[in-house]
Amino acid sequence: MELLFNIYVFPGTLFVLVWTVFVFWFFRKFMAYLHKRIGPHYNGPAGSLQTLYDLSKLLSKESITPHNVNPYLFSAIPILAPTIAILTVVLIPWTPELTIVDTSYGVLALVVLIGIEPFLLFLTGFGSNNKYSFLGGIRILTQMISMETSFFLSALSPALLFGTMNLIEITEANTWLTTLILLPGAILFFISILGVLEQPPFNIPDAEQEIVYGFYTEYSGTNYFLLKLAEFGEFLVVFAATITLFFGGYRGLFFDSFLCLFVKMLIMAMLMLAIRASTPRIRLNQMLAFAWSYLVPLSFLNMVWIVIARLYIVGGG
Amino acid sequence: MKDDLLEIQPLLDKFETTLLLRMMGDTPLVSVENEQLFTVVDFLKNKMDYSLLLDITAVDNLDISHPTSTRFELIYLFRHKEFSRILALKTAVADPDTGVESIVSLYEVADWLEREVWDQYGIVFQNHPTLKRILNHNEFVGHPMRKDYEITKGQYCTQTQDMMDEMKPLLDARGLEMERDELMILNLGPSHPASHGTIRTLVALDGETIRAGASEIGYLHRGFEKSCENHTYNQIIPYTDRLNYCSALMNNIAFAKTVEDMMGITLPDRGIFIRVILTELSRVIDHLVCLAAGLLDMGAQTNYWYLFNPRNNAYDFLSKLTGARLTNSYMRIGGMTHDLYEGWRADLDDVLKKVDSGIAQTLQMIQHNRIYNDRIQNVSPVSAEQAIAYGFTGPNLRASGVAYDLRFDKPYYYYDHFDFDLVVGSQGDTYDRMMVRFEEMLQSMRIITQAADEIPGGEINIADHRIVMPPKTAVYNTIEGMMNQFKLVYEGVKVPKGEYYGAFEAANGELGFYIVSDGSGTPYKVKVRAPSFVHMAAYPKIIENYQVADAIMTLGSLNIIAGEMDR
Amino acid sequence: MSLEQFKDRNVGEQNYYQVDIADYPTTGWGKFKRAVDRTFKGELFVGLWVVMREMIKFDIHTVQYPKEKLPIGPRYRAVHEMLRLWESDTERCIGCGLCEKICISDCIRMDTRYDENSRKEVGEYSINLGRCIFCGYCAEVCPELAIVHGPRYENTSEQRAHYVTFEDMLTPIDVMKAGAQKEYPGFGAITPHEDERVQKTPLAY
Repeated sequence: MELLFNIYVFPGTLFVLVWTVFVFWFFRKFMAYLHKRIGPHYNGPAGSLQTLYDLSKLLSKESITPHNVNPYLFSAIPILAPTIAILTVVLIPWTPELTIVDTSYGVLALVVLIGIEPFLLFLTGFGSNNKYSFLGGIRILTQMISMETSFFLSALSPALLFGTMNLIEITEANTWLTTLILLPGAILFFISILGVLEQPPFNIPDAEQEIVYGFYTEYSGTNYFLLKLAEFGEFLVVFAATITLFFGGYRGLFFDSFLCLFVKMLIMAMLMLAIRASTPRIRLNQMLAFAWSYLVPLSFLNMVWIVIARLYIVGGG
Repeated sequence: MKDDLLEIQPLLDKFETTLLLRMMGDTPLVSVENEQLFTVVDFLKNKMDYSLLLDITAVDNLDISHPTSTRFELIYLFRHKEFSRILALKTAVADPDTGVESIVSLYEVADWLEREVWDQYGIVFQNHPTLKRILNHNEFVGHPMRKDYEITKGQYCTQTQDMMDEMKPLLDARGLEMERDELMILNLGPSHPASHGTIRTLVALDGETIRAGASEIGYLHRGFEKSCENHTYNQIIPYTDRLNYCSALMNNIAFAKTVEDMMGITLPDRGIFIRVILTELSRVIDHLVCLAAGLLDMGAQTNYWYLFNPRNNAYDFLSKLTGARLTNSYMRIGGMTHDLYEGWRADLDDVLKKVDSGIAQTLQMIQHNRIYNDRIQNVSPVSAEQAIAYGFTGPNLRASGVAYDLRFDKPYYYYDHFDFDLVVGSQGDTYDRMMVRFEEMLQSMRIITQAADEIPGGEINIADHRIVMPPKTAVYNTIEGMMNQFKLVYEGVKVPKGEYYGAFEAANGELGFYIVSDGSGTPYKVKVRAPSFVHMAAYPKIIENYQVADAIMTLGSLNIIAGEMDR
Repeated sequence: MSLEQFKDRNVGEQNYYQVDIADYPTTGWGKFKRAVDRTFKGELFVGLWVVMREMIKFDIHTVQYPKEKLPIGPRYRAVHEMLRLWESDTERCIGCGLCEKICISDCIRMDTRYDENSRKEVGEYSINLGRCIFCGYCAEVCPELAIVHGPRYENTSEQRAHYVTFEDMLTPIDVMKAGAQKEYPGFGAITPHEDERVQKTPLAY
């Protein structure tokens, strides 16, 4: 019974769906205020049901499969992508009690599951038989390879500092001091996930004005919704991962609960949106130069700093 | 007049057969023998420094009453390198199928201009590299601007062209081969989010880098020039709204001014000041659109709202003043429809304040933003020489460091009395093209404030009722006024026989109207010298060896307006 | 043609405003200095700050269209209105045909005839709103102030045919039902073989 609850309600499918609906609305509303607009307004209080209406529209629309595409690749990825994104949910300690898979390789599993997602999107670009999608796919691949190095390296810094890969232990071991020590790593991690999640200024693969939404170009209806679900599921996982790794997960100032995690995640989303609103997109070659000549060396330096901090500040063995 | 004659004296001396026909305003119109055309143009360019080719067009003399030697005549318009002088060449074309020698080797801009003349009039240019249709569809039969082509004769054309006939020579010239170099052909457009209208650019991609490009235009071609031959001068004004729809008023004013200059009339001062204010306001709006859309192409969404919100305020002002937000149709030959309304100054000041703060917010966000700078600096630079050869005018030319602005070089409408600066860039790259526009908006607002402060009272229209409509009271109460009204509507404003080229510094560059009148109320021929058309001709060339992302930004910064380009 | 030549030209007392690209450092030390400079000036954070500052002003520009509408000035040119005489409640239009003549898109059509008293009478008057460009010329030339532009700008329809007439003064409904409505030749009109070329929109699938 509890397992069923976990799979279907929390933190499983329903939770991810509700999160997607909520965060979609939140993104749009917050973005609208940044733009001096009002965003969704009519459906539900403050337009909060707008996403449901959009969702029902998308689900009732025809999913067009273009001619000459690889039908298996084209249709399989929209199912595979959200599955893998949602699968990652099991690793996160949502509340002090609730972690579905409590493994001592938590960090590693998290990083791998998050890191595999863009490759699936790359395959959608490859399977769409569209030059724009193809360009988008190639761009994802390029960006992934350059961003993942620093993503892995900075994700490992808490593991190195606390000497464990278990996410619950990392959460429990977090103090104000370690948060400060991990701050450079957290910033690097944040920049890397902007790249991994294809968010501005790294929204190169799905740049609408350049390559017509890249790998999304040929998708419509349900398939499009599934891809969007995958994207928002990934947001959920990545935000939760960041908070768990660097900012003490579910732990709050006065009490420990899921609420604390959620509030921290919203703050992160707001920061991401503010960056989206204020920065232009960079070019592919600039992204490469930035990733390899700044991010990766800085990630290595960060590792050195963590080792030094572990030896001399935290005083662990 | 005397000075102008002195200027062209070397040409008349050098070539026996050239002959000064007459003056179009202060532009000398010189007739040239068909065979000598290339040599004369060569001489003009290299010895007499007429470095900017403005336009090439033809006149079909089928209907004209006065006897002419041949049916077709070609008109070439050149601008001197000091920019204030224009020279027009006229050559008779004995046989359109033999045509004349192409001058593409002298002026790069002649490429598309000659293609357009061939497309519209069927005059062949010998040795032209790719003489094919440009504005009309490739399946189109006949030449629509010929007088014997019926205006109502539409044709259904359905097949698209693959454009490889243009792409292949480009690739060959660069020593590239599709298979060997693993190139990918990609259609940027016709309906692409960043093409700002319907423009198709075919590019050969090597990875993300553009190796060669070719553009196809004409998706918005609606036969503006043919329609003009069927309407009276005042009826053309709503059509000019649709040329550059981002600054419709400016096109109104440019056309009305050209016709007025042709008739030798000047507006009362109040009318001129209103026109100056509205011109500059339109320039601000046009630049706002260009910059907002350009920044949006870069993913800088918020700037779009910061720039478009004040634009909306400006449109509210225009709607109150002219009766429409976008297609204003405010000007008439010899004046305008309404005077300024009560309380316009407060509204205008409010608009200016909002535009100013919108620009300030945007500049704060991007001026020192490293991503912004890195993205567009040194992208698609056009040197001053190149820009002249491509026929650039307006902000795009000024960005290359050429200080050419008709408001300075040949001031009209009291522009020499206003205190404002000429904005020039240095590199001619995308950054310069955008920043020049930012600064030009501020300068335009300086002009607006000065003009609004000094605006005199009095009439807005000229007092001649052969040109402007009589007042409504006269129409209701007197038979003379009523007859006057009917005469004007049925016959239109009579413009004296002759031809004229009027140039106007529009937001995108030099907007010129070449008008031939046969003395009736309907123009015999109207040709628009559209700045976007020549800018677009250069676009595939300047994006070469830059990435797709850069090409998008370059298109945005050139500010191609399809309505003006395709006409 | 050098750059100097353009710069030295005498164009009056006004100054040039030169748009500059800041000098790019070439030496290693210069580059380092610029990097430090940029880091502490926080160039990228300025944008963040501006966005946030503008947001907390809550200076919302959206016009919630069906609820709120933009103010329409008295000069606004929207759907035409035909006026009646104050004295006799009859139509002002005398059928002079000026609006038909001046109409740029040829969308005004007018039939006049002599009634039993040998007076001119407007039989049929229609404006094809689908083609009208709302330039205002008909209102401008009307010698009787009969046709004016009203403030109603919302007109939408599923069928092009609905645009051909508008209610109170155009083709009477019985003429319309009899199918006697005449189309206009020329651009934008319905072509003879329209039915074969246009396919029906599938409403269910």
